[in-house]
Amino acid sequence: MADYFIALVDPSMPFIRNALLAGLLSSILFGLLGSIVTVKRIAGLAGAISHAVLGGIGMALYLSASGKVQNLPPILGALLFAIVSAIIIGFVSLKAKQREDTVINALWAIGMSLGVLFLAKTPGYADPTAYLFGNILLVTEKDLVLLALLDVLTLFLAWRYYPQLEASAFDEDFAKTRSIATDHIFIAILILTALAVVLLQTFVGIVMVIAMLTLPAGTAGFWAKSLASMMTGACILSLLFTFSGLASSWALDLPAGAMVVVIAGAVFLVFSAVSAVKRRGSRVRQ
Amino acid sequence: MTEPINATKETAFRFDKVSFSYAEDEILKNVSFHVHKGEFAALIGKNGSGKTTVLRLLLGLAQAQKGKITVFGKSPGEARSSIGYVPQNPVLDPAFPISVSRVVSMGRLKGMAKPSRINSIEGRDVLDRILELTELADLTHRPYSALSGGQKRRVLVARALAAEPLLLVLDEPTANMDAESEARLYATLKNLKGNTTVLIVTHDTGYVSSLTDAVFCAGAGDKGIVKHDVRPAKHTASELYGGEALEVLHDTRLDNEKCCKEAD
Repeated sequence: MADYFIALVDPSMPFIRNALLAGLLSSILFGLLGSIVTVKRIAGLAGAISHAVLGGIGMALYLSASGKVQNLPPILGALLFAIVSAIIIGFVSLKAKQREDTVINALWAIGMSLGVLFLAKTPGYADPTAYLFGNILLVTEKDLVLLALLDVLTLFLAWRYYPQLEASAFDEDFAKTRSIATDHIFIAILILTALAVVLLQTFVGIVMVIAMLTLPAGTAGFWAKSLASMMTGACILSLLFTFSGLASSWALDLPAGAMVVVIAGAVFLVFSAVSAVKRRGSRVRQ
Repeated sequence: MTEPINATKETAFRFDKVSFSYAEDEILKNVSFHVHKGEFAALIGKNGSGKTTVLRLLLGLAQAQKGKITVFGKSPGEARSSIGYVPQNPVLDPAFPISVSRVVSMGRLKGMAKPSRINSIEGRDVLDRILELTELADLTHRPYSALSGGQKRRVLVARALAAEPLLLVLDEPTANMDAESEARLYATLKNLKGNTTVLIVTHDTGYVSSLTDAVFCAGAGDKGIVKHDVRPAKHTASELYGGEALEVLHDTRLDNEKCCKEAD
């Protein structure tokens, strides 16, 4: 562990500090968006968006490497696929409620498959594992600026529209009777989630973004008394998981993204077990 | 039928030759009825008779394919802020972290505007008064998920009242409620009678509360709504209706426009 702190202040290893900063900034997104995704029970939608992103990354890498489009960064392809899949999922959820799960799962599978196909045809070697499971050492200063901007936007929207957000997540039909634009809120959540997925996939990877959007919020949900306290608790937990994951991955020479998620998952399981035992105990006393 | 305490010839809402279908399934056909301001009306009917559809149309959550609906002279969408709604069995997340007072304060929301209606002194006074009226003052800080079924229903009534509605719409408010909770609910509604127009929806087609001024039966005839007469019931458990019950006379059919003609 001490080695990690030494590396943090070592001027020759800025990527270690960038990784910690990325963890700090992504904790805000994981905490805020994760809580909303959890209480609205749309983790499946976020999962479909995050997996469809691989199609965009593969497409951008192929177009760039084959010379069809010069210097097309993978993040632009990811952004395109994330926004398009968010809009399709939003439209299907709101307008065509029948077969909603089929369309969502189809997007999930088609996005990933397109990514694999594009990567297979990309000249040279393109390792999909780096995108699926992330590599925090790839985080650049530009990524940090984008993450900070998305943090500010998400924090502002959550603060300004908190009562409407809470009402639409709690009881959407009632929220509509109070003239709250529940459909707009839903689409905004999906698009923010899509943007977050694009930025966060560098850190923990496509597969694990969905885990970090649900595990800290799910753990905070065991004691939270309000959506706001759930958001705050999830942000703090995300930060703790990230820091402990980074430090232990450095000490054990293991992939950082996977370590963060394993720690978050273990804590969630412990809290689930404690909660189940408590519930059982209170039923027996009754 | 009891005389309306504060009914005038002004209507609270009116359905005029309204028809509604879900795809090929016709639910309402050429429905016309109205309720006056201050009246306590009951909409009765068996499951699947179109009662909830009437409510969704009234709230502007569904659009009629034919006919016209007016609520306080406006379209349902425009009049939404004047309506307090207590849903039947809302599908709510049992683990949602929220207190009773936060749920009730949702009734004060109005669109996407900043919620000054909640935070102002006047807004807090309204919420305190509603919590007292619905006997929830001692439960304000309790998690909503920790309440009993009857308490949850009272919280949803309080949430609807927090909007200070001109029209209160309750969909099966006493379903799965114990007798004590039911009595408390009717006591609350009794306090509102005359000042707030109330529409209560129930699948109990035999009897209604003695608070009721007008009874409408959905699914009667050809997917229409018929106004029935009532008489005091003799052999019914009064605690289930918050006082004396009224027996619905299904073999009667009152002229829906007679009240307006008399008022003229």
